[in-house]
Amino acid sequence: MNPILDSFDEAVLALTRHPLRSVLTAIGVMLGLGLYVASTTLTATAQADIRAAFDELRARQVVVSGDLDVPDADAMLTTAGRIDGDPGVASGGIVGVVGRLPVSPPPSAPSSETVLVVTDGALDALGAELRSGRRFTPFEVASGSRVALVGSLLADSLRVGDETPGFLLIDGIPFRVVGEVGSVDREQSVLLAVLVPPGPAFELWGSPDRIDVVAVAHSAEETADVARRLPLIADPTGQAGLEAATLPDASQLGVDVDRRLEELTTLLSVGLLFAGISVVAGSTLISALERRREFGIRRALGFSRLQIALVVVAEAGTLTWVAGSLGVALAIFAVSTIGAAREWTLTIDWRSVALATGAALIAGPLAGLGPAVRASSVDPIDAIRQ
Amino acid sequence: MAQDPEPILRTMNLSKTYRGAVEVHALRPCNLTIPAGGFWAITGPSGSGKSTLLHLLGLLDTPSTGSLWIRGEDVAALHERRRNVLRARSIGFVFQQFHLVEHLSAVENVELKLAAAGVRRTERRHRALAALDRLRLADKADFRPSQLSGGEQQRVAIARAVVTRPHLVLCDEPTGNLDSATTAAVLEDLTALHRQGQTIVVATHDPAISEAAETVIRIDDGRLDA
Repeated sequence: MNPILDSFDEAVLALTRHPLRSVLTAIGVMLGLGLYVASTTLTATAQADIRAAFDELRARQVVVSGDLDVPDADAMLTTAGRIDGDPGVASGGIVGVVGRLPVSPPPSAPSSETVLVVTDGALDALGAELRSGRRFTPFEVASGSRVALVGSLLADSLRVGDETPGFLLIDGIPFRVVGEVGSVDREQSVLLAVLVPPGPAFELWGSPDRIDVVAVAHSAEETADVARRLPLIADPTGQAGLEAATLPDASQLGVDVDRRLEELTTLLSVGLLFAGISVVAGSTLISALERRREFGIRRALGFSRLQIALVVVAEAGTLTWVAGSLGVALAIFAVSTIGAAREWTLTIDWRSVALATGAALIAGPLAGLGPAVRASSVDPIDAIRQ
Repeated sequence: MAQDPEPILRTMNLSKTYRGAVEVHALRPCNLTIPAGGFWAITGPSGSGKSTLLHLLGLLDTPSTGSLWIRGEDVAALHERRRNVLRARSIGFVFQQFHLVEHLSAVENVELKLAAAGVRRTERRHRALAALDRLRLADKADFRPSQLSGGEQQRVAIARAVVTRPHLVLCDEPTGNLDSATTAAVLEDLTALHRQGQTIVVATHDPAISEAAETVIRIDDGRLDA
């Protein structure tokens, strides 16, 4: 005889013969553990997104400002090449503010708009995505072609592409519009500007009013090093007194948000686990009280206290294991389905899945202990007299 | 049938007193010797101490004084674990209220006793079905208690009591909840068991059972009159 196997047989029998109670309890456990896994998975996904967003938008960004002397287009392109070539830099370049100039698609009346001079690496560093068209070609950059990119907001307000596709007058000089910048990760003001390559900018308007070096490091950890190197890379003489600025607070903010989310999830998780365990404990206790007479009869038939306790513990354990596993599996399935539908990159927190499964393994029998002690202490004579 | 030289059950000054605000002598010191294969009836009015004696003989309760031997083993002061084993293997109970487990089928109820006795899982179903068959209930093996008549439930309870081939079957008012026709059938089953050599002790008000028993003892106010 194997009392443990016997107990599981008895547990399965009791659970299947009381389907309503079993199903209701199972739903409670499934909800408790399933919601726990779902909430930790969603939180992990949110944390990953937040980390990525902070990382992408802030933590890796370096901006060098100061009185950088760039006499001509060649010098600007050379400096930009040095910046972009730094091993710690994922992308980098130069953005210069030419100023506010009259801009119009012919034959409309011109309006005063911001004109920026940009290098290709700067567009990468700003995270510029084109809505239409293309970027400047190397040939256009090298030959000083009069080409322009227009920010999408400015393009919409000027109705570029509607009536006069392909051309803009900047300060009265025609520029061929080769593309529209639909979005940027940084410096949203770019969407309200006209962007031109260095060649025509220097040729027509001279040195820009202000020049900034923008760069994005490969990783948040490298940002500080890149920030230290970048002023000297941009100005090897060190005479311009350039200063690099990073946004360390932003990355710290990411960590703070991360920590708060984790605290919240932990609180929620503990609550849900506790709810699941309470459901099992409550149901098992009710079951043990309902079956008081049965346990007394079993005692009269010769069952030991341990055998009876094992039956109760096995019942609580079996129910929790089955319902818990089902809840965890369903939660992963549900979250994955929702994630796929909403195009989220899900981060399943396998630690919490393991924790939930482990909790189900331990909590079920644990929840059954109290009722088991009660059940095993039933006096057979009292039960028989009932 | 040859008589076993050693009695199945013997008591010496066995008594039970419930101590509380008022002391109740449920059973005064009594001496009994029940031979193997005997069919004994214990009669007496309600509250006279029949059930108390049966509970003591069945090791459900512990005596206040005295000794109790089952097949020569002094069991009055045994450790609970050994009492459980004896109750599971050597003693069968039949109760007035049948006391079957509601969510189990007839055959599963009979198997319960085999599980308590530590019989291997593979053997249980076969032996339980055989016991039900002997009581003409093979066709009702999968029925739940609520699907059986009172008489059928009591026969399942008898099958459960005898399935481990115990030394002693104790019945507490086995026909108390049955009509006369069913009572006759249950009595027939008990006498059949007795004919097969089973030792049976019945606490009863039922004159039919007293008439069928080999020995009748009367208990009154906790005192045994052999």
